[in-house]
Amino acid sequence: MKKQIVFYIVWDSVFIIILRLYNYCEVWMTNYYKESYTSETINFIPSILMDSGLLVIIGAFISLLVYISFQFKFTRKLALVEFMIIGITSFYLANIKLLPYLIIAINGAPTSDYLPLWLYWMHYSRSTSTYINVGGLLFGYQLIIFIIRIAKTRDALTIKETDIKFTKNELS
Amino acid sequence: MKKQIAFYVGWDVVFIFVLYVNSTMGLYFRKTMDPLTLIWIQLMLSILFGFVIAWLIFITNQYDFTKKLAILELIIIGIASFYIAAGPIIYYVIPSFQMFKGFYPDVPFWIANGGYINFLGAILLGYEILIFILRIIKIKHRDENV
Repeated sequence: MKKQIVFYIVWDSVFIIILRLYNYCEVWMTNYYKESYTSETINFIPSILMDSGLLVIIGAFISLLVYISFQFKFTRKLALVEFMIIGITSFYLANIKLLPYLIIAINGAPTSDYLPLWLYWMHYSRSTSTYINVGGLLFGYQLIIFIIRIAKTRDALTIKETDIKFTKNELS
Repeated sequence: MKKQIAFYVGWDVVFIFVLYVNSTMGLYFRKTMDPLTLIWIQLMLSILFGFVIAWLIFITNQYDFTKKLAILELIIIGIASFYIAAGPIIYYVIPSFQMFKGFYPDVPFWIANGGYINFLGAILLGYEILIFILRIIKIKHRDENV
């Protein structure tokens, strides 16, 4: 179990680092356009190519999670652990635009009063909508796969119980 | 094998249909809804697409993969996702080269200017490429041990 938990936490950390790199690339690209804006036409080709390339890398990283986690033998506890570690991070990512509305509704103060400085890049950048989309996608995947895994482990448990009853009857 | 091909093609059709509905409804929503509702809709749509991709992952993980089946999945799902991801590149980038001047590819408007749709295509393409490589490595490893 420890090995799996370590894997999920490491995957989560690397995933956040990749998103941060995505943000750096977006900032770099914006500055590049600001500096090179001299003529009437702007060359958007590098921006389109870079954006697509980075998204392909994010997709590949998600497939790594899928491939490795499908090799684990799942118990209810492990399914819950995966949902807690990956699901909560992705849920947070999916809700970063809704969070300010929620905090204002509860406390009447803007999010910037509560947000730690190292999280600003996630909430206030050009890449925020990408984070929401990636987070939502990953959360949807985690939710459905969690339900399926719980249903599967429940089926396995009921089969075992019926087996025990059968053997008991045979013995008696 | 026929069953698997039918599933991949069926999944592709459902996926593209949901994308198309999303893009046409998106235009209507952007005109009529307030920003907060739009954020909710965006969130729900992302989760819905997560469900659709989870469906593909769950079913395909039950298959016993051969090289042929892995290549088939890459071709059927990968090419569709590549086309969706590369819509803006095909539509805008290719005609900008001197050698393709005067060539205007026939890419539907909702794919060429998709935004979110292109995002989904790129994510799915990345997933398909790496999972294909991992499957081929696994099959090779299995064949060597036999």
